[in-house]
Amino acid sequence: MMTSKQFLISMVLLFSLVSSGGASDVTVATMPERHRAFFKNYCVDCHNAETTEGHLRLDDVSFALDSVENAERWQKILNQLNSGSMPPKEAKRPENKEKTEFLDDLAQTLVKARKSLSDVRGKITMRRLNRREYKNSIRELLGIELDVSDLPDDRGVGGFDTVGASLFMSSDQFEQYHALGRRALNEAFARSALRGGDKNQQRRTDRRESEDLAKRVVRGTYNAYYLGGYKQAVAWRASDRSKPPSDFGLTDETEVDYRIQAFEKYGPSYGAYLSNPLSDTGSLLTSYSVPDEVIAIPPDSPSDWDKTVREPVPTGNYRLKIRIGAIAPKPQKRIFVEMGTRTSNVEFAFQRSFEITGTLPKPQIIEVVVSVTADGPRSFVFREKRPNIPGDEVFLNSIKQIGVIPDPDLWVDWVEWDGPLPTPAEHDLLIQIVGENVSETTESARAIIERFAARAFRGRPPEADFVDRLLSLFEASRKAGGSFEESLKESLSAVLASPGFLYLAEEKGETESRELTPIELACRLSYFLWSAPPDERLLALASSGELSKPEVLAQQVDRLMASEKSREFVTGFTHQWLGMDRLDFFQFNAKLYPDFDESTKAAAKAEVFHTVEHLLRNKGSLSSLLKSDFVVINGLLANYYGIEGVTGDEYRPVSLPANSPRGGLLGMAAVLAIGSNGETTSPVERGAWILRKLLNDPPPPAPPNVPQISRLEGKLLTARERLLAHQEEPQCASCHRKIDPIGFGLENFNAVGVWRTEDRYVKPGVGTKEWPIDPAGAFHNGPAFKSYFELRDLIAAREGDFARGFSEALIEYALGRPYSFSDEDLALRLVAQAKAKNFSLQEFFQALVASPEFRR
Amino acid sequence: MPDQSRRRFLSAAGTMIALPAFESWGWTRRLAAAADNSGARPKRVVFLGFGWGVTNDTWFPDVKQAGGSYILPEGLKPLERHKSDFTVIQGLSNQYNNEAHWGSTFWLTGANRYSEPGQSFHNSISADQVAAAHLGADTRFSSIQLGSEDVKTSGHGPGLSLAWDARGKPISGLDNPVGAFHRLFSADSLPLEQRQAKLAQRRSVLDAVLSDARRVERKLNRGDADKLDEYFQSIRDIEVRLSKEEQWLSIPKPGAPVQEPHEGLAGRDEIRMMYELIVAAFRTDSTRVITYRQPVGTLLKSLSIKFAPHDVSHYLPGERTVASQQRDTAQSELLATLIDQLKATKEPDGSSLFDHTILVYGSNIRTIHYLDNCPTLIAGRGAGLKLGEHIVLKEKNTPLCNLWLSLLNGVGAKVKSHGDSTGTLSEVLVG
Repeated sequence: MMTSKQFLISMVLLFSLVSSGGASDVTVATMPERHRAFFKNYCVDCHNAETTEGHLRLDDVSFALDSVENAERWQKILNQLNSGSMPPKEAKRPENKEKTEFLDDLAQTLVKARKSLSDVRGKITMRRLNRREYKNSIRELLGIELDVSDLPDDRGVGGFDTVGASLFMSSDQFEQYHALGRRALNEAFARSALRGGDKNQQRRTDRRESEDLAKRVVRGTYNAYYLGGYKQAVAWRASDRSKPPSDFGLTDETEVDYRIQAFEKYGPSYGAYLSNPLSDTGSLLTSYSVPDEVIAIPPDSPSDWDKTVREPVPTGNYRLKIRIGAIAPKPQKRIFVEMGTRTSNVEFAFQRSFEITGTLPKPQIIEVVVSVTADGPRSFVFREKRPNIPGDEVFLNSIKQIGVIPDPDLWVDWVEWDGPLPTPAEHDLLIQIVGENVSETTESARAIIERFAARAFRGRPPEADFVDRLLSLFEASRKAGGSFEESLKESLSAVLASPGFLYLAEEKGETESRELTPIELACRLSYFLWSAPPDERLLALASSGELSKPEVLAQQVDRLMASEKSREFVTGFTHQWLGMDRLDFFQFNAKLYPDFDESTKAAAKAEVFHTVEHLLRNKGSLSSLLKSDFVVINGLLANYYGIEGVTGDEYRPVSLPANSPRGGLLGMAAVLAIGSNGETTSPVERGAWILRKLLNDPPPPAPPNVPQISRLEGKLLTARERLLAHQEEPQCASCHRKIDPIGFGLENFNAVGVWRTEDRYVKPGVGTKEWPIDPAGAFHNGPAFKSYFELRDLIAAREGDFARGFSEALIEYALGRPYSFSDEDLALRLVAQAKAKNFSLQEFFQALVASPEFRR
Repeated sequence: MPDQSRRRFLSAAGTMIALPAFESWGWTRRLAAAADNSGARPKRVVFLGFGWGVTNDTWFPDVKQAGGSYILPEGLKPLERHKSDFTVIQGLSNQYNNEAHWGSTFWLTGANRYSEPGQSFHNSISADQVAAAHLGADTRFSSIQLGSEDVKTSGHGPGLSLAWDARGKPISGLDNPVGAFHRLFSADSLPLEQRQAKLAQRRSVLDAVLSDARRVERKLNRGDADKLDEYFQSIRDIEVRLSKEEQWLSIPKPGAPVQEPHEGLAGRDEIRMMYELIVAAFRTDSTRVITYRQPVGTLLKSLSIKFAPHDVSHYLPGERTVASQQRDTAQSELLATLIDQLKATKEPDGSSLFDHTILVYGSNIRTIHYLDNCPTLIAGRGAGLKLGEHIVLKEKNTPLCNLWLSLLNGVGAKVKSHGDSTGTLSEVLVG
């Protein structure tokens, strides 16, 4: 008998079949018939109508997982089998092979059922701007880079951060939006020429000869603390000791000992710094003894530790300059400087790195523009690129080895800050809204509010009632004595917390799936390719109706993708598509991998983004991500990969020799590091990642309650011997027989993506085992490979599967709904259209935007 | 409440008269006590969730030693001095959770992620919010959610705190001790009139955005209207909050019984501080319901453990097991100090906070990828549940929600069911 719910579902299914022209007729996940025997043999004896063991009846279970209840029953069966508790020990139990096959199919069928049952059948839920889009929308509206780290990152439930159903709203979040909007307005007003006739007068340039501060700090510390304390301690020891140490300026005998030790340990390093003639003309960047070169706005006086209260400076953009050169360039050691911010909480928050090509005789000038906000960081640190090990550890190691700090690599002539820089007229978005020399009346306030709301609402004019209420906020504030500007902010910040700004609302038509209005289409397009609101050009084309013409729409896709703003798409989409957040889940062991420091990790991430961007902008093929004869890297990564002839910080395509393991995602440090735990490689992670991201054959999610195999720990085994245990138990084998062999094919790369031919396992107290890497293996029921290169070729040959997986991800991201079976037809069309153009990356976007689904 | 309206009248007339109640939290307490017909001390509820589970072999007592005279395993040793005041329960689980990395998402809700056709994620109200609906009326904050910035690595799964509202939407939390301290105790230095004006202004903001929300709503189809309903609900929640703030406007926040925390506390220090704030919040009767989604990643770092939290949860014999055990011990030590403080904090009638608090400490993840036999420890006499026991349930997969139901009933929330509960848990009920 059919329950009413089931009936409804069938009706919906029927409807969707009719409406989509019968494209998807496999939406019900069904357990293959051949497993009925398994059921009969091992389950039904106990779980039937008469003997319902464990309150579970299985003789009437439907093999079609067509309802949540049915899926739930099968989930329980899967759980019992996975936990190894069923069938019970005393009953007849299946052979391993039989059980493995059953588990394999059941796990896959359940994944399919979950997907099918949660199929939204093409419906796009209205959605809130996600955190990235919100930040970009504020920037486009006010020209302000807002720190949005207090908002949830919207990536919780799996899937993309564009999927509407998972973008929640809460009262706390509403208040956060209101407060953040207020903060953005404060910044915008502070930076705008509106208030800034005096801005140029506030602008200051402050150049400091580096030696002034550095030498003072080092000499001061040396003379007053180390040498001074040492002299006092020695003097007390040399005395007849009739007087206490306190008469010599030291607390007690413990301090006497400590001061002598400290001087002997640290003094020589300070002495070496001071006696280096270069310290008279600049500061020396060494790993520890001197503070890193800090540009503080306004400057620290004389240095950070005395907690000088700083005078406030105007917010705005500031240009930092630093004149720097390598002291004794060695051809084998390339030198990089990393820049970060410092706040009271965080000593060094990495931002970017620079390759140093300047020398003592010919220094270079590094120039960076930074944004100084009311509550953001104001101190910017420059230091030599270094492993993620606390500075004193580096220092102590060096003392252990050579008695003093390492020789400095870098000399800094001077540092400078200049600002606030005038806001370029085209970035002064506020003045466009407020207007110059505005009379401070209620009438002009009303006009400003209307203009602002229309922009914030992306071309939709606000209703009169809304404006009235906003105006009453303004008036109440005026009455309470607020200034014109303050009172305006009251109204405008409410705009930034209202649905017209926060939601991408698409109006309903007569039917459920009507065509988007031109403005809605413009919004969907720009949030897809820019993660930002449409610009004036796009809105104008929408208003005139031009945008609805296919050729105009296609031109706009090209224009938007060619714009710098499409970087937002590239980073936002790629990061989630490839699961790159795993890179930040763990610390990489700095002792094992000192070269994989903050700078390298950032560069490795950037490589992925720059590669995708390069393909997008140059009509490249998606298939290049599987294998290519070039990489898109900068000097730092070239150095890391051992590729010659690449210097400088910008990313560019570089040709590879034929035998290079690089070229394509599989050779990228970021991807290989994702497949590790920061200590060792994880063939399982890597294999699963390839199945998920490259071959569109995702293994089911790691099931709960599978017994862990731990009997092998502590034994000296190779990685492969250890993972062979996975093949013994059907619960493990059903998935791992597919995953593990692929992962082992990448064992020539260590945890941070460096090529190797040997691996080792060290068990303290037991011993060490070393073995040559053997990457050979075979796909489950598929071709064999002898090396990483052969594996890569086999994967590269499956560009159709890759294109399919990519299409599914793109559809989900662009349409903001979980990809499901009702989207299969669309995915097929995308793949077909792209394939006709050699899988040109651009073609996927054109095909998707041109599809009727994108316009509904 | 005549006192309060009088106060409002006085302030409206521009007079600032310090009623006795004005300077101490005693008045608040009387207010609360007045609302409680029985005249008993108010009940408090606190849930502490620790994400990734525990070390199986060294955290759970031996199942053969059920009852009061069991031997405390290594992982619970730091709680020795409280042994007669807490109970460990084995055999509880959430039947629907299949997410091996989600230790908190469904912990207090028992929901089935897939129960709504056409949706890939669903949740329902958490036990603490059911408690808050019953216990939250007379306090400044109906409930407080504490959390940590270290969420991603701590095995909690989706959510903004342990709490989910009546519609199954996540409730956000206070993610650092400084923020929590200010929310609870920072005094608003503005004069009352200005604060009233600010409140009125905030209401006007709500009116304004509602006007726009109605415009959007008129043009939506049903599914989208449901989504916009979240927005309306948020506004309603703020209105409720504002009414509450108004009610409390003339009552100054209590003086903080703890020092303002330093910025940047992490790991062990952070948890310790949050525990102090929990006690302080209860002591000042600022709220009666608290959840805390504890950090794991930073805790490990503060213990100088070099493994990532997920890897520690997959402990294997050797270094990782040691790390996993160190984490258990550190967590138990922290919990022991919290219980110390609850016991040491005296109520006006001479009883202790511990007598009126029910504390739950656990996770939806047992250990590694196991979601059965969820680690569960209860302490405090607030819900009248049995203490000093090691309870091994006969039914191996008893709904965790049965415990939540017993607890809710125990603190006076007479709900009939919660989540997938099938009844109360007779084993923990006294008599």
